[in-house]
Amino acid sequence: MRLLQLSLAAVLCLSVTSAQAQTDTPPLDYARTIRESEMVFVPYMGMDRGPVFYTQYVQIPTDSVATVAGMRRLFVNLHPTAHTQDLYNGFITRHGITDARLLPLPSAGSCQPSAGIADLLKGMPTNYRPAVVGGNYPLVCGLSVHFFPADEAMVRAHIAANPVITLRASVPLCATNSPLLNVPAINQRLVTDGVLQTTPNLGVGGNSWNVLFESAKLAQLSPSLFVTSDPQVGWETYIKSFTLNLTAQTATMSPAAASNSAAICTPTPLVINFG
Amino acid sequence: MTRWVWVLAGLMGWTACACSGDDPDEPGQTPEQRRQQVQQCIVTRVPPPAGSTEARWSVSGYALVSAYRSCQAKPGDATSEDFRDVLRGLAEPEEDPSRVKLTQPTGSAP
Repeated sequence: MRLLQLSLAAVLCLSVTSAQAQTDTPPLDYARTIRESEMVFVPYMGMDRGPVFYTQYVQIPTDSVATVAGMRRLFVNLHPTAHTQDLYNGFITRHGITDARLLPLPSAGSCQPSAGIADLLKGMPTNYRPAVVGGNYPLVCGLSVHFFPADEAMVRAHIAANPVITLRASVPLCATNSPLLNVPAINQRLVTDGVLQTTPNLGVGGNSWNVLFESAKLAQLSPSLFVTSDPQVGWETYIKSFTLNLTAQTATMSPAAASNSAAICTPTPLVINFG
Repeated sequence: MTRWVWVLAGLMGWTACACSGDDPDEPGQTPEQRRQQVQQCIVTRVPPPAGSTEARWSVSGYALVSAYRSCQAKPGDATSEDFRDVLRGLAEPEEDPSRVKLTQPTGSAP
């Protein structure tokens, strides 16, 4: 019993640590973007860890299993071709990458059943028509497909001949030559002026109106700190590094954001489509 | 002799101003009147979108600060404390830290 309690505590501790690590990541370092085959890797600032995005997918059905009311069910999952063609492991090894294993959905797009599979199975009961299910890295999403046993061959033939999932995603990446904002230097000015204070977890924070006013005034009086020819552009990157508590009227910046430069983004979205 | 008279007069004037506490920008203007005047000035510089009749609109925080600073009689009047006071009733923060929601001040047309 004691061993079970210790094991559960260890699992919970690791879960919390992992969650905290995932939520306080540095900004992405677009200058070190690596594109190879169907993979795009963008590391976090100061790390070899970061998300890997895939631009090509293939749909692969699972075996079917019996389910309720005499029906059967299979899943059709979207797999990155970089994995099915065994390109991923070499890419990771060659570049010394630690994969953050992030999915672009649902934040950057969605999967939907294709019109073809929806029409093929429109006679199924409402709750048993094709439905999208969430992904599990590196599978970006899947489709749950119910059918009657006599129709399995027809369903599989349709899946083999047609895309049954429509994936549309646009990952908001930035150009590799996006200028960098020296966030720590700006923070230091505002800490010196008493506008920002160091938080217990080594981020920075302050009254949100004070931060808004003093940072904008600093950009207007010392535009070179904010890099861009129009300092408002650099200022917007800076102020968006804060999280607001609207009730408490506070603005806080995480330790990872406070200790790294941030890209003043020239948008170059990564479009990912299937079907 | 004349030069020292001017220096003395200037020192006396500066002292009078420094000792007058909350010195309004205009003679007889109360702090509340000044606050409302600055609010009106701000909304002329960051007005609602053209053609809008909405009483509330979103503006860039950068533009708001620029408008506030340009609406001061003296640069030294632009402080974060005064900024917060002037925005009372005029502005609310948005989820986007770079944006602020303005509400038309009472007594002014949209």
